[in-house]
Amino acid sequence: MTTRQDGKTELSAQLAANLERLKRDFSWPQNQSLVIRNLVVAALKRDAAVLYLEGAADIEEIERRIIEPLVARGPSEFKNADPLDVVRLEIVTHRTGKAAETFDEINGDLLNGWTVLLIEGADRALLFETRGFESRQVPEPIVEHVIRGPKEAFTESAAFNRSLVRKYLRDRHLVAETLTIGDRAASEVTLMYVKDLADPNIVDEVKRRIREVRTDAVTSLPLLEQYIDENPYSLVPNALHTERPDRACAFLLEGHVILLMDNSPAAMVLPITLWSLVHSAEDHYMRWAYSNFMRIIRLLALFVAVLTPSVYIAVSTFHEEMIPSDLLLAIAATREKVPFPALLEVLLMEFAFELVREAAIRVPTVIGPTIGIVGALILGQAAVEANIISPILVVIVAITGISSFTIPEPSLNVTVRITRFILLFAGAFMGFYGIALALACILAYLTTYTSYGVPFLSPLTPHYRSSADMILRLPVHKERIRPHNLNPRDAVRRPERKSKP
Amino acid sequence: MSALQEEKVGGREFTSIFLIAVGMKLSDITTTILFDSGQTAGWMIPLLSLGFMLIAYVVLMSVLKRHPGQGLPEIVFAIGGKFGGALICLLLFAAALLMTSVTSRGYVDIINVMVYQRTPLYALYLMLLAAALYVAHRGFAAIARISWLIIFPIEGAIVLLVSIMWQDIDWLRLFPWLGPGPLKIVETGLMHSAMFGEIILATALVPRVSSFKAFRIGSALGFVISSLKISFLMAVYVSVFDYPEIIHIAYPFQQLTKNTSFGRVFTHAESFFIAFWLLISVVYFAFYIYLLAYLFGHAVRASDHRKLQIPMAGLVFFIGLVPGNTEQVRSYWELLMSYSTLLYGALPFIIWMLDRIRRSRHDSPQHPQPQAQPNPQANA
Repeated sequence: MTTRQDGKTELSAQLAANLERLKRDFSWPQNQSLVIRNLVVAALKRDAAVLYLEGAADIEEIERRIIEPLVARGPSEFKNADPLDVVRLEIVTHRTGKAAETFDEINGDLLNGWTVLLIEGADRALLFETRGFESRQVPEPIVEHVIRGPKEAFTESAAFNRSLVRKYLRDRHLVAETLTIGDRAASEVTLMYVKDLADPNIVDEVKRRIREVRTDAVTSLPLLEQYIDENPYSLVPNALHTERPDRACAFLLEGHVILLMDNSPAAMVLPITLWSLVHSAEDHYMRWAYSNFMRIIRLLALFVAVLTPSVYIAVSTFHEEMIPSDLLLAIAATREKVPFPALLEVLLMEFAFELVREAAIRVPTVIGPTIGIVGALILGQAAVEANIISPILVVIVAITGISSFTIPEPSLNVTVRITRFILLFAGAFMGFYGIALALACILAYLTTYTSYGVPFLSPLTPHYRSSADMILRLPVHKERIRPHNLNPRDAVRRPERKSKP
Repeated sequence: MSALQEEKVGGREFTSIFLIAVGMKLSDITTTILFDSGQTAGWMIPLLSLGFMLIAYVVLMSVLKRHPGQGLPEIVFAIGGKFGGALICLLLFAAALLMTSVTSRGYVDIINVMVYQRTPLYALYLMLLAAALYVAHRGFAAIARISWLIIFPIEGAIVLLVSIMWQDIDWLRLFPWLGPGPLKIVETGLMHSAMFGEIILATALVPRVSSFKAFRIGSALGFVISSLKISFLMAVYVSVFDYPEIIHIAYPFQQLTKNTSFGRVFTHAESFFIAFWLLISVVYFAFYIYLLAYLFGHAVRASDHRKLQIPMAGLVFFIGLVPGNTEQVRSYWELLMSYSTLLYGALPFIIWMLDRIRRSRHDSPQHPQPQAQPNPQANA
């Protein structure tokens, strides 16, 4: 194997050496994506190997057009002398075929779905275009909508999902390791990470936890998430599920690890921080100002969703002087006819709202619209007219509800809804004093909560170097470094730009 | 609790703790008491105390620098021996405990008087300490990380408060600018230096900070900025309320927030500031409970000082309930100030001297330099 002047490495004439080099390049055998099929070319009486990337290449085409002719064709007279020409021109029936001299070319083409044929004694390789990324019948995302950006989603097939990931991220360091769990019904978990980015400690920790799962069967990712969770009683989620391959790749490029499983139309991202939960897939597809505007709206919505009912209770029960006098009188006038204390009113209304939400998820789609009508009529209109609740409360609960819908991640959504009740009781008990004390405790919990060793609020607190992609984000060309809280092996995303293009 | 939660805290986080722990004094009874003797010149006293305390601080830092990776308790044990070390640790602990009790009682008084008149004092006290205990229980990292998270909103809120009140400020009210006379001011400043006692106590936490440099920068920065802040806010109090009214106002900070309004619609914004202030108080006392348990744990060589936090909170609670009313809280505070000023002022020099003597003995040829023993307690 020799290195040329331009830095590219040429193939050697030995099949074993070439194979060894390719295996190293693709981190085989951890990376199960690289498939190596050894065979004997009967016509030439030489050993050979066919290589391709699972998910990137069309397997059927390889079998029919490349492997079959190579094995089936017996020894006979050939017009060409060079074995490579013999194979390319007289044996293989594939529509393409070109020779490559360097590993760099081979690596690049493998990632793009080409198939490589290495023959003993030949210092060149044959490449066939067998691109077969799964792209037909890819469903659209149902949960994570975007206006701009790809509209492809994962499906229930892990092989299909791996192919989607590889389509978005054609990097030879993208490793797909397969682990088996379940004693009775074994199922396969694919662990994907970019080998020269992800912190090996995190990768090992995830692998260790998956290996430690002892149960008869784990059928899907959400179950696996709970089996490998370090704080099963915590209100805060420990993993993130995304159905978007582009988002999964964005996480991979930051140094996260993703897990794929058959029967789960999503990728599980580990470890996570609060920021990964509140960011939307679209944030980086929009221009800087637009996406920051959306982020500010969502941040305010998060505060509103957590705090509004408790602040309303605290203000109306303990700190009336805060409300402008006119509004205070108006509220008092409408509340005059309501027999319940403010807390009970809020609880009634919040309970009704949670009912509508839960019912809307459980009910068959056909009856769906009924709930909206019943909910809106009974909750909005009739309850006020019947003097069970005051109109201001409908506004409070409605704005809280709408705000909580802007939180993109379902787990965080439930966290917020439960936290809201905790703060509601704290506020009803002691007003702002209660809310402040409860908030301090919640902050203490959040700041020390970790997901696979990564602090939940990092890189904001504790502070780590990062591109500040947290509450707001920088223009893309300034997001130069990866967040250091994940301890990435390669910290720099792109070199500093000296001048404007 | 995993080992991670006790990991070391970085420079930014530590600086924010300091900014909070020292800066909180602008909002409690400290200012009230300083106005009693400082009058219109009350704002100079924090600066003078800063000057006095800085000397002690520099002396102590010079000792700390020679014992890398060691905090105050480790050094005290190293140069004072088992008995002497425990004695000094307990002395510091006692001073900190009394200070925390009286201060926290002062805070609960404020909450009781300003907002929750009908809630029993002990109930408010219990709630405050319970929340602080939980935060302290989550570890020093929790205190540090929350501090860093809220430090910018805090400073922002103070700037907002001052800018809202700007039109009510009349700087001429600061005159006569020497108040009761230069001698009296210097004396008061000296006698109340212990209000910055944290600067000595916090050196116990050196092993919990990522590097000595981060500790040095963080403590110095937090110390100086905070005392400038306190001094400025005290000047604002006088300029807004005027002398002699200021000495009749029990809680100038809370009184100032009562005067705030956002435009013509929201005429009462004080609850906003008070809620914020309460959140910070929890972090403030969490820091003290952590520090108390840490000091006491080292004094008695406990294996896990965090288990001592509950008894510490209990002690603070019961001692804090001793004063019968706010007036007594103030007189206890005054008394404590004078004694602990002596302790905080003298201790660095004593430690420095003992360290000198010990080193000069070790440097002589009969006594070869012993290898520094890594203290097993250092990272407990």
